[in-house]
Amino acid sequence: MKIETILLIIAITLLFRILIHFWGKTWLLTAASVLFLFWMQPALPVRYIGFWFSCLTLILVILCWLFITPINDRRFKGNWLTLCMIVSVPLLLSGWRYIDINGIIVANRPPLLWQVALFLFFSSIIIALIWRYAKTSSIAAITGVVFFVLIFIFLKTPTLSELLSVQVRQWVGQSPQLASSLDIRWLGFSYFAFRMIHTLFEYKNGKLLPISLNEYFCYVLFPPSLTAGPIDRIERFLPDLHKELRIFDNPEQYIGAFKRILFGLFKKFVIADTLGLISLNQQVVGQTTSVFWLWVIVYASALQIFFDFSGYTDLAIGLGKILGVDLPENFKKPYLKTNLALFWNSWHITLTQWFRTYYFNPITRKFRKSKIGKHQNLIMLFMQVTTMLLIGLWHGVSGHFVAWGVWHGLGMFIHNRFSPFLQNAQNKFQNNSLLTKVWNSVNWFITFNFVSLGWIWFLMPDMRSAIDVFAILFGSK
Amino acid sequence: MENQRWSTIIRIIAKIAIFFVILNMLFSIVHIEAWLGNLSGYNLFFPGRSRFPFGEYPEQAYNLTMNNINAMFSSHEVSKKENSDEYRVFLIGDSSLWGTLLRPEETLSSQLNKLNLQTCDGRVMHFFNLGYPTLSWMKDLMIMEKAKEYQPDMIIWMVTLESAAVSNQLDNPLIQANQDLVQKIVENYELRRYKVSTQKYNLITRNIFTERRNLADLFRLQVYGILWAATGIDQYYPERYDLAKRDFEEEDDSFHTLESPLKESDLSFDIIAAGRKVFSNIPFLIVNEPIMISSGENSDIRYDYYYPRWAYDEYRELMEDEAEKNSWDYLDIWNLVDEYEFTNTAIHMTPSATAMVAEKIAPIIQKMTFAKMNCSGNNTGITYSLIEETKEPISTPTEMAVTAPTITPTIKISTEKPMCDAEKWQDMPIVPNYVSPELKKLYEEGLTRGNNVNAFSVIGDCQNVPSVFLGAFDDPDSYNLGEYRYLQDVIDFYKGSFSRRGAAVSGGFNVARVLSPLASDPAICNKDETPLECELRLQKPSVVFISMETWWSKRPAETYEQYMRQIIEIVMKNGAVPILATKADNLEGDNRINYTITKLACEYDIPLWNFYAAAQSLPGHGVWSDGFHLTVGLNYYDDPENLKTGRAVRNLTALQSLYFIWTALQQ
Repeated sequence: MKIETILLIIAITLLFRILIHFWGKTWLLTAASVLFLFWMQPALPVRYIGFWFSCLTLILVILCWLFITPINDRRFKGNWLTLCMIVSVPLLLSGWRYIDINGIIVANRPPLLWQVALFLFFSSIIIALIWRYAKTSSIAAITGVVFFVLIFIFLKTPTLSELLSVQVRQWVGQSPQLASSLDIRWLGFSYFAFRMIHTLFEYKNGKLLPISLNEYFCYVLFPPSLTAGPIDRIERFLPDLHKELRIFDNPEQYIGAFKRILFGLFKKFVIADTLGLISLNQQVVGQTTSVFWLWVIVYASALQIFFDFSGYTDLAIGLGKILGVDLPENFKKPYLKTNLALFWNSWHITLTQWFRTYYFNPITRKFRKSKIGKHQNLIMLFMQVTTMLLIGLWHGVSGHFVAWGVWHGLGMFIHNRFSPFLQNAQNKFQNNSLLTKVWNSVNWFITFNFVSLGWIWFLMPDMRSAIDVFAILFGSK
Repeated sequence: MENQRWSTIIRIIAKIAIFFVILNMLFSIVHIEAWLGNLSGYNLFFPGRSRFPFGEYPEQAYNLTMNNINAMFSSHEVSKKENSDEYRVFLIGDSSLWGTLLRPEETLSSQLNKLNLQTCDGRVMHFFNLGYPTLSWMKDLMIMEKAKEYQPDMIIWMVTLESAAVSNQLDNPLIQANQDLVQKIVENYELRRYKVSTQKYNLITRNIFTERRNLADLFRLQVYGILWAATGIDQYYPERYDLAKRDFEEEDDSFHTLESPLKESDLSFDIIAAGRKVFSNIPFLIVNEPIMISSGENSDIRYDYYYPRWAYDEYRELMEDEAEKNSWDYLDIWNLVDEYEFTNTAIHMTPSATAMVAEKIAPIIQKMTFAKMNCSGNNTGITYSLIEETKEPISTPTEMAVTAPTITPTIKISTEKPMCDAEKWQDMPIVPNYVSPELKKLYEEGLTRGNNVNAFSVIGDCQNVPSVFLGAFDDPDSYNLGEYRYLQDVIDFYKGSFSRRGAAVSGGFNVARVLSPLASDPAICNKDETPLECELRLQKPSVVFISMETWWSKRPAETYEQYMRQIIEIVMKNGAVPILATKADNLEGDNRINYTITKLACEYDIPLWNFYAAAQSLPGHGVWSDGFHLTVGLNYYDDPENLKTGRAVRNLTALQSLYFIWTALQQ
């Protein structure tokens, strides 16, 4: 995202803060979320697909809400009004093509009005039928989860995305020869899908109180965290949503917000973009003639990833504060941690918590209660490796992300097995501050290097290239 | 309480705003970015660059164009702390000197450094590339003025006519960005006819916001230092580029707005004089750099894209007159380099041409330093006049020849297959003396399939372009066979092939590149056609020289062998007779390449031209002190001095090999 866009978003957010003072939070935020969705969807080479992705997002949010809201609770009048507002937005935006001003709200020219109207008509019928007759159930919730996972697989697997691009290109009369997996970029899917899956699970576990469609939209599509998280929890989000917000309330909130925004801008556009100039890539690896400088580049890349991602998180948190929502922290000085477990407790915290809550903990419990429960080590190995593998696959379904996931999974397992021994060793000299410092420094060094080297799998386009980097770093090439 | 907090916030915002305004005012008045250019991590955390930062593709070149002259110098290796044992020679010039399309190790300064020249007091000459890609003597003067701070011991100024035009002097971004410095130069050296428009700056026109791009570039240059250190890359090298124009519009003899006869005042000789004053107490050599002399359409009117003949000839005369009048040390090497040794413009040379220039000026540099130091004698043993045209062969061997090369004037064809042992490759005959029946059959089949009996091709690298390899034999004035008159028959038979620039021979080619479609010339080759395939299609040769020796010093010979096999097999599949050539150098250290070439010749039972063996009896084994470039001589074999040089002997033994193959195949 360019800095001009971010500055514009900050200005619009401040404007919203003023408008909220007069018109109320939830409705404005819902409208803003929907418009933001269409605005931020990047232009794609395939005609209209970006617009349709945004429409599909709206439909998915509505359907997911229906799956978690009992029939009686759907009848609230406000929900109908929200539905009407949401359905009218794409219709209005499709009218933009006749004004011939492109790129203001939607990046590409929208589809024809009649196509959008037809889509919304049929979608509305389906929604209305479900709204009226479909009961919620655990099975429905699980079906929703499976559906999201299937979409994930489709979007994250390059071969499948490319197939989809071929098909869509044929539909819209564009050349399928030019199809690429990069044609299929659905804004924020990775994040809002996780929020919706979270609500489906919470509903299935009986922990979710009824919420209005308005509130649900605000939660799922909250603009500051739409594109890059954090992945908030609905029970934490709703109280903030309902807090009254006045323009001149609470100056510390503004100070806090601007501090985070300034930090975010500095981290992202000064530090991360500078480090991005010397980041690891195939071109640089092929040209490097010095092992020492390649190590420098590897470390620079590790820092670049951190400052880029945490910079965006700071921006999201700062913007959230302006809107009165305290988004959760995603990073807590991860590169200063002295073991891998602590690292993963402080890196992309909301994502690891999500996987811990919905995969690691419940599946581990099931295994422990089963026949193989006595094989604790095997269970731990399997669960840690598969958890990290899934996190890797969440980034993309390809060999190098698998390698990255397995790298960290094995690292976690090894740490898990050795940590009692290490703890005992540390206890022996805990009164010796010098030894403790040396001990912590060594642990930090090992952890930092393990994580930095792990990024090699992440950054290189395939396994072969990543292995080449390791070979150069360790002198065998 | 809340009001108090709001007023605190407002006070903080006001203080920040005031501080910001003061900072901008200081920025506007003090020109802080000029000072910031002196801060650099180069030569401290990472090595200094070997040439000034310049580049249009930062992400590929790890380089960007800077107009901050302090930053340019502080990022250059010239600003490294001086080594008292070195004799510092600064080269000033344009993009040709800077090295467009040349790697850092191929530029003129690097080629000169490879020669390891020394002064008579034992100091090693260290050549620094202060070239910058802009054609303007005023730009050069500005760089020289700044270069004073770095205490050179000698200056070499590479000049060309396009930099001399008065209209070119001030019209470039580097001059525009350093107007204050240029204004001082104009005043100090009384160059008043150059009107520098110094812009008056104020807080609105010059502040942190307006200068943000320059500040960002300063920072980015430092960051790119890491990639420079890691890769040694400072330029983007496109896979393909448009070659320098060789054909011109009819009647286009214009040169700027000038007319014949050129007057002294039309060109900026006053700037040359000023440059001479900047460094009046150290050796100062002015060199008129080589230009392309085209043989294309309307080349009787124009030498090349830049220069109509009348303008350039008159410039040279004026330059010589000025040099003589002012006692400048001046060397004119305008026609040293063959037209095919230029790349994308009429002044940008290939690595081999650049090496040739280095070889040419090296002895003159040494002579000048000896003269300045009042050294007795002259290590090179050669006397040069300082104003000359270069057609004479250069021969400055490090050891004098004591024996004539052992190349026999007549060749005996063997009817029995001789022993072929790759382990004893050094002892293989210089000229092949056997063609197998299978190879003859392949040759005849090639002819029935359409191969041209009168055509041969060359698959090779920079050592094999027509300007240096065999090209002379298509021009009767360019050679004299001496006692090798019998070779005239083969010259007549293959007439036209000698000077032809094939699709598979070029500076920069190696065994891999001739097999890559990306290296093909799109003007003559089909899409997806490799240079080798293209050449075989276009020329339909019946005989093919295969000579590939460059850039394999760091890669295993096994890789070389794999590619070379492919080349041999493709050539043989086309029904052509391959002639493999060994090389004179041993850059890889263990002679593995020559061993591999011999092994392949034995395995495929194809002729081997063992140039290595011929070079061993030559002074310096036929190569310069860099261990790679052949010593230069002309193809006048009636002069025994030429037969002591690598290049002449290479041509002779190649012709002899071709003669043998031709004779054997005709039988």
